[in-house]
Amino acid sequence: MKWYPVELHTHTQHSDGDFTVSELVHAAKQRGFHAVCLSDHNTMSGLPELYEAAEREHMVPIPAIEWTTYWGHMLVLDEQGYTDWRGVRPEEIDAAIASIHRNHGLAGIAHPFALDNPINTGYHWDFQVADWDSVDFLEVWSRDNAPCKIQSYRALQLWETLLNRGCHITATSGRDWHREDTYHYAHTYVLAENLTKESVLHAVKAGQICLAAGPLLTMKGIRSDGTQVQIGDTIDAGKIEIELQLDDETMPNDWEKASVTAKEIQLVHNGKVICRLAPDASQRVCVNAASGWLRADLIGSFYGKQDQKIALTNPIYIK
Amino acid sequence: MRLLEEVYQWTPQDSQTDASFCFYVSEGMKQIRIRFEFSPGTETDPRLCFPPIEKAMNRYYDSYPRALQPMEKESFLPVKNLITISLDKDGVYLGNAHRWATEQEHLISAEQASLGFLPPEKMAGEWHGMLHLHEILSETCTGHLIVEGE
Repeated sequence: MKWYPVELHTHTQHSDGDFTVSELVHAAKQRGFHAVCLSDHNTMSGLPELYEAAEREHMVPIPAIEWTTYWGHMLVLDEQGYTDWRGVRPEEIDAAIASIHRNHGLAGIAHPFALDNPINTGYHWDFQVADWDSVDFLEVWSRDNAPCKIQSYRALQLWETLLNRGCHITATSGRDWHREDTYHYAHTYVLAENLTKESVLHAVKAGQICLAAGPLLTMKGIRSDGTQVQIGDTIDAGKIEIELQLDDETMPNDWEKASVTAKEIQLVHNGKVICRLAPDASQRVCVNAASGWLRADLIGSFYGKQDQKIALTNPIYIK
Repeated sequence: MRLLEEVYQWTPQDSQTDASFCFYVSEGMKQIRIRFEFSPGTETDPRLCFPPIEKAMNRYYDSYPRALQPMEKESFLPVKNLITISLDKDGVYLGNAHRWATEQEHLISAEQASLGFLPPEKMAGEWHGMLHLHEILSETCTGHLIVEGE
């Protein structure tokens, strides 16, 4: 199994981006991504070009659409069929997500606490989700400078509230990439044996995703019998050995080593930091975990701002 | 041949609503041309812009200190009015031109379509569309929609 950087949120001239589809795929390849998801606003008209461009660039294409409504934006990945975004009222979102799932698609909330109208139309999530278990993923980091933005703090807070409630919901990062620029972005990594559309979608659904704005922090659990559990998996409560790996050679074309530096790894269990560790390249630590969830965060500096969360894993769930 | 012409006048109360339209394409027509204009595209009047901008900023910051991520309301001027078009044909969604342009032209045939739309299975028959009024901040905003068959 290997960690692959993928971009799950992009736009082109088929909606309000400046990229042509070919330019987008090429730019993603140049940055070091292995897969790119085309999620134009309310349209899938760019998908035929996506498949052609991805084949040329040896990239994995992920078809998507970003529901761009008055009550929030929602990323819908690989829906086989179509659920109409138009006219869905705030209280009707659960039925819409159920329809997307019937069509084998995944639904994720984009930038839930972004600046709203009139600055960005419909960006703040106002849909009234009753069944949070049905939401496949939550974009906790969005656009540039993600680790340091208030919308990220609030999205992480919502995510932890849902995890504490027992929901298995995957945190993702989305570049929401519209055009070439020189901003500082975070990255989404998926765990897969071989990278295919199916393995990316499986990782999103299963929570086998890590987010990093610089060095990549990954985690796995080791049971007492020596078998391994990946993030997103569930393990019995009790003593668990955790293996942590830190890779600062990842995505070298998209962040500066001198500007994103690791200071400390934190293990977060049910919302509380239970362990603080040096940011070593590889280490194992034993924890006594109760029912709930366990995640690893990397704390460090991000382009001049100290003590930011610069990487995080999705959780291992504990029963 | 003109298939539809509509003139609209909107106010901020129309924000976050849809305006439906439909037109009929007869057998033999190869292409439709949709032209849509609205005006004004932007609003700069501080009296109109600053209260909703401040509301959005307050909502964004919630209980967090503003010093964590300072923003100036002036930096969000001008505010854009945003109206987009979506289309469907024979129950199939063709797409949406989700763009900021105030003067839009979309050409659609059974073989190809302007950016944002997929070509339909066949041109003839009843077409449905919607104007999506994502944001109208100006006191009045006028729109003009023309659909022609060729």
